[in-house]
Amino acid sequence: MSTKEQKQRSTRHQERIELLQGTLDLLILRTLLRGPAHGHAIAKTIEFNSDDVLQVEQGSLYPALHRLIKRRWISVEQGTSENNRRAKFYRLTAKGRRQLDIETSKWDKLAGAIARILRPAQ
Amino acid sequence: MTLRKRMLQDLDSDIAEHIERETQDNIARGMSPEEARFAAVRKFGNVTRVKEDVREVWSTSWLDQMLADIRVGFRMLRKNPGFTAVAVLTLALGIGANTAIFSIVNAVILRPLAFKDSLSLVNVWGQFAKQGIPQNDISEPEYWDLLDHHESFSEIAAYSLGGSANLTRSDAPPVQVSAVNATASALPLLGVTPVLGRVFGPDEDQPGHSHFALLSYGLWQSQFAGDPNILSKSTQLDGDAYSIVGVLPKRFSLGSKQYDLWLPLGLDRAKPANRGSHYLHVMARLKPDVNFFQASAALARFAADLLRRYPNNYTGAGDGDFGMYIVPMKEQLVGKLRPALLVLLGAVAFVLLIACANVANLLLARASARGKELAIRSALGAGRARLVRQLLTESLLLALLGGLLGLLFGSWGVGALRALAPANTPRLAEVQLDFRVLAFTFGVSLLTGIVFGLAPAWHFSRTDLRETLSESGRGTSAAGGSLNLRSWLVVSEIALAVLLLVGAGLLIRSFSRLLDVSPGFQAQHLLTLELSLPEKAYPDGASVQKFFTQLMLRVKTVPGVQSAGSVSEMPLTDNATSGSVFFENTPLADLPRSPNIGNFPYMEIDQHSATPNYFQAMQIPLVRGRFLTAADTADAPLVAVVDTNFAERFWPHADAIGQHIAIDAVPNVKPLTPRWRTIVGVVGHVKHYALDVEGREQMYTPHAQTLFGTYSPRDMTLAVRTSLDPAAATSALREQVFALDPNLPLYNVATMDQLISNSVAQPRLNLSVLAGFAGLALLLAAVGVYGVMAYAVSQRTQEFGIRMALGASSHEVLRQVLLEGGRLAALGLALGIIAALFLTRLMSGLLFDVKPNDPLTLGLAAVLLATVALAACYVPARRATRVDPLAALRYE
Repeated sequence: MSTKEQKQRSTRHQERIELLQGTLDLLILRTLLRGPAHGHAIAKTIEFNSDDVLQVEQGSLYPALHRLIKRRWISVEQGTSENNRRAKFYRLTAKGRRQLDIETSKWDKLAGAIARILRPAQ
Repeated sequence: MTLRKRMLQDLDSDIAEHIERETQDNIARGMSPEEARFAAVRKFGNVTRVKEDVREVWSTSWLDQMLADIRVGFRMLRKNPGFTAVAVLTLALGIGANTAIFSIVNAVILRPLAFKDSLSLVNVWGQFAKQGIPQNDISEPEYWDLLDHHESFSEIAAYSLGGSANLTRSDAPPVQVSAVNATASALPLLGVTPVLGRVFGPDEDQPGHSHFALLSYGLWQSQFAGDPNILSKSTQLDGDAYSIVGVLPKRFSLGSKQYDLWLPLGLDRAKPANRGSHYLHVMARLKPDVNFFQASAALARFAADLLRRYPNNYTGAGDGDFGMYIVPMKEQLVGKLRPALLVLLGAVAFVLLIACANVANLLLARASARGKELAIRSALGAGRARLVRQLLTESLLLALLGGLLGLLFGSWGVGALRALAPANTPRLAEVQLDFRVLAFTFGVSLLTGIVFGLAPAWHFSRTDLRETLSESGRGTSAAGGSLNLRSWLVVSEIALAVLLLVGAGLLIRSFSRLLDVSPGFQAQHLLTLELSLPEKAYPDGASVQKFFTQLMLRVKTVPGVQSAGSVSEMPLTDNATSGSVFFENTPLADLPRSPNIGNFPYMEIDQHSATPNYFQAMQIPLVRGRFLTAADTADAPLVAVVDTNFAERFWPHADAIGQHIAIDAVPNVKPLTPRWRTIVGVVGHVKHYALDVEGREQMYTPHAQTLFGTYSPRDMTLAVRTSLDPAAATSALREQVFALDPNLPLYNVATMDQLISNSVAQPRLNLSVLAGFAGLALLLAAVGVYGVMAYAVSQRTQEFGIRMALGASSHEVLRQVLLEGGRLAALGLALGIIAALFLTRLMSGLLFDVKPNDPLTLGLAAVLLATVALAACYVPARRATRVDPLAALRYE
């Protein structure tokens, strides 16, 4: 691979990270609205619900989870999963619920605005 | 346990758990276990990066990361002790030199004077610009007028310098002490509080009631052994009893010199001295609501008013010749030092830049060696910004270590500078490493770290890490083509070094020119000693003149003394007297005239009172006529000797011999009539003030024919030409003085060579410091050139091997490497010379008889640097020739 190609790839990669920054938080909060879940389950739910469109590296879920915990939007508790394995369960807090409302309406506005720009006729 | 700690602790197992679940899912979907695990890991992404990102989420502040970086940085520095030592030492030299120079600049120029609210303090001066008196003292009547009429000043005080007294005690030999005579308002104006006792009260500063003294701390210690009960005692000054009212603080000085005593001035308002007798230094404090320009304008109006009210006293002045002005007190004190200090500050900054370039080069060389380490860390998920930050942290660590050591070097440097600096440098005692210097050093270190740290960081951020990883790490060709960063660093080092060399070279040339200047007399084997006759024991001119006549006769008899004379002001001792000289007849039409004294033209001239044989002792050449002789007694016809400048200026087309001039009026005759005297001789001009100052025209009158009154040469300096050892001669001369008067101390004993050396102490200091910097610069530049060439050669071992295998002679290889080094040196030289042509103009004020673009200096600096640079290339070049072709080819 030539240097030039590699550089382009690395730029694209960075853009994707940026795009996911806030969005991933929103998706996690939305997922947890249905009840506590462990990390792998969250990743699976997001993938499933988006019909596998959002191909996220599952690892990038963890910095986001930690960020949400730090902001006290979600809490964490130790538990055992279906097959009796130790796992961390993440739970939406009241604060996180409020934040989800805020973020969702923000997202709606943004999506609406973009949609109007992309399809002005409709 | 904090949430953060718990979360981070479980992170590894959480990730493992996650991947395990994914693997299980994959197996459930029908993959083989290995396949399932591989897919799970790939889906998870870069584990290291995830962990770093998570850690970054929790890192509470940049401080955490910085601390981590610092720990890693220290580890790196410890792992390369040689590199660390060289880099820290280089930086410490640069930073230390900067610290030293800045300490001086800080103490002398930046810090306010150590007086109360010192920014509002000014010195008040008069001037007669057309008569060649740009800065004149204030007369008593002018002082009283200022006190009465001036609205800009809240406080005004006056003092006179140059006083001295003979301190006698029953239990010790007499000593001559220096004294300031000041009004009672002076110390309160400065806000100075004695460490013991009090300042003078206004009632102690009265005519006939002023026998009070304040001791300097030094005199209190040296002559009174720090006696705590000193206040109840009195001391004998010139035979009179003075009550000691206080002891001044240790650090207190009016500027360049600490005077032994402060005495009241005791001005008599009822009987003021002549309005034309300017001898008071006046200082004042601006009112809070008055700024400098308003006060200057008001003072100019005040001077114009004086001119109107007393036309006879400022005669010849007219047309705005007489004026008064103020100078901020600090400017007055240190203004003259500023140009030299700023040049040194600039020079030392260049030294630091060179040091930076060298360390940047070291770091670059190491960065290439560390390329793989960085590439691997990057591949493991460290962000580029993170690595750049790590590199910068290491640079800053180096810089701060350099700064710490530099502080030590700096304090040594300050000590050396203080020892080298002329004793009369103002504020030298105030030089210290205060918080401002510490802050400066810290700031410079940080800046330094960023400056030289940017090079490797920049280099790194442009390097393709994958290539670094995949290539063997050994470049095959760097020959020819454009210059790389390292070469540019060396080029700029050389350019800066050239600049400093040229600067130092100019000062060296200037200094040797200065020493070549003939002072107008023969300095070798000349001993000077000062003597002052107190008024109490020698009340009138006759007694003073008799004493000196007798003394000179006795001195002549001392074995080993070839000739001896004495003069009221010895050249190069900061001791000068000038006054109006009246002309009976001069062809010059534009001289001012004085209606007070027959409307004769007059001019300000340096006046000296000399005993017979003074010229012979000094070996001042006689040009025409005769010297002063013993026959020129008080009763003989009045005579004078003038210097060649005097003769040529006032009688450009006639003979000065036989002309009549006067320096005073016939006593007790009204209206005032000049006391004419005949010029009997013309002698060579003497550089009275400094070797590089031409000075005013000079006139000498016989000591025996001087009228005692306003000008009383009780202070005379002996000039003794002798081949004796100075110490032996001094004790022999002391015996002669003792025989005439056991209470008289001989003081200010110095050989003329010492006086000349003292007079050039400032330029010599500038020269030594700048030469030191230039030497340092040269050394650092040589190290830089060597480093780059050695690196280049080591990188191209293979190439040289191939060339030699193909038949190149070692001579050709040597030539090639030297040429490449020479190319860098030539580029640096060219840039340096161009910069020098622009920048050395800034130091023209420090130069004597040398032009800033002196071709010889530029040429010599270039040759010296080229030689050093080529010598620095030679070692690596030789190494290149010794490459074994076979070994080089197998080197991979």
